[in-house]
Amino acid sequence: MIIYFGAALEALLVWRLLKGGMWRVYPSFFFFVLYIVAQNAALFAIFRLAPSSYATWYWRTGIVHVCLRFLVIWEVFRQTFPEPSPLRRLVSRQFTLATLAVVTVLTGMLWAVQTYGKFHSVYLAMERSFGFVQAVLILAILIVARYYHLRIGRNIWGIAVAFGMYSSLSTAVSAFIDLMHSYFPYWQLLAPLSFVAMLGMWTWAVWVYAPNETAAADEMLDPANDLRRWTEDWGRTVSTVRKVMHP
Amino acid sequence: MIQILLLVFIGIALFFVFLKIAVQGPPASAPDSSAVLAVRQMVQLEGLSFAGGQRLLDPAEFRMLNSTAELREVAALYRKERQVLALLWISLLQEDVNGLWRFRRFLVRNGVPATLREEVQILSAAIRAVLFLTFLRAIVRTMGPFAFSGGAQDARLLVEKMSYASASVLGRLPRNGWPEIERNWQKSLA
Repeated sequence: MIIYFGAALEALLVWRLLKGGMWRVYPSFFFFVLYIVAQNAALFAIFRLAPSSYATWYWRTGIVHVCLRFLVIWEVFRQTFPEPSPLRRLVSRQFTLATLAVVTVLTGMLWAVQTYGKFHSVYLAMERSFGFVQAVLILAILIVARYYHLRIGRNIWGIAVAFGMYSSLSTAVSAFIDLMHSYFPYWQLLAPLSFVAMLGMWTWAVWVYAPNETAAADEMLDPANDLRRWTEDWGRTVSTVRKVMHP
Repeated sequence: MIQILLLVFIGIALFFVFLKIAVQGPPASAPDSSAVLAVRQMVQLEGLSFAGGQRLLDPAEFRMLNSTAELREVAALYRKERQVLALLWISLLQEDVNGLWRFRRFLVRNGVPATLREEVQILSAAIRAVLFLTFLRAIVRTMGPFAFSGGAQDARLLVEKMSYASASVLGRLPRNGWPEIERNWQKSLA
């Protein structure tokens, strides 16, 4: 039931992003969504054709999935602080440094934790460490945006909040599972459920095209710039023609 | 062990932070600035147009005067004057809230489209503003103007929020219809 509901939401999400070319506005996010679709399709095929290797592929693709989630953070970051914005220059260095520092510390923690010896799952260890980093980073972006009174559109707001909720929940749950292994069956239910909830919120968020105000303003400015450039070029052409005709 | 336990708690705490953000909903888009200006002109928001509200409740100058023994009398006089001014400003803000509330009802009565949800939101914003301003007035009256210096910004924000709500409704009308709205509004006040 959860699998089919998730698949339907994924299909809706891809359709909505393709419709009207929204995927061009959010390419990193779209790439991540495509990976999710490909991952689930491949896992479904493996489950049907070679069920014995399903678990191995589930964990392998899961690790890639955890890493690729940084694409969502990057999308939220670049949409909230677009390239020409002075805030981008202000926060990008600190953001990169903070990301590197937190990732380094948590990767160290990942291998150093005592309980890792008891429960050999790199995926769960990565899930809780990276999930924590990702939730913190997305929250930091939202806090900075709020501090500078940047208006975040429904698309990015929905993507960021749903992702934050999912990452923080997966951090808590996967850490809890490492402590109390007997609760593993609940994790098997809770993990896909929270993921489907995130997909549902993402679908709602991108259902209407509502970009951040700065991005919308840039789009509005683009045609004016194009028109000005075209007028200048046309003026130059006319004067060249006049010079040629009346030297 | 402790590290993992810490991650469980931090994860839960982060989840509730995101849940709170989710419950608050996406930030509402700011209304057209010309509509905001038009509302301020039509309703004559005197309290909101006064920019020095925060300074009125700021105790820095009073403390400076009060720290010198020879200037204590001046400080007391200064405090009393500030109290009168602060009360006057709060009453102007209360008038702004009443004016905005009436203006909003006037717009909806005259056929400007609005949803029930918006009406409930504006009603709750108005009630919150009235309650807060009454509370601030009581604090300034009983404990002096500098007892709650942070309240000035909150009071201003509440009234500003109400003006945005009216501006967003006005912004739904074509601009050439605004002068007529203004005439009708003045007539309804007379």
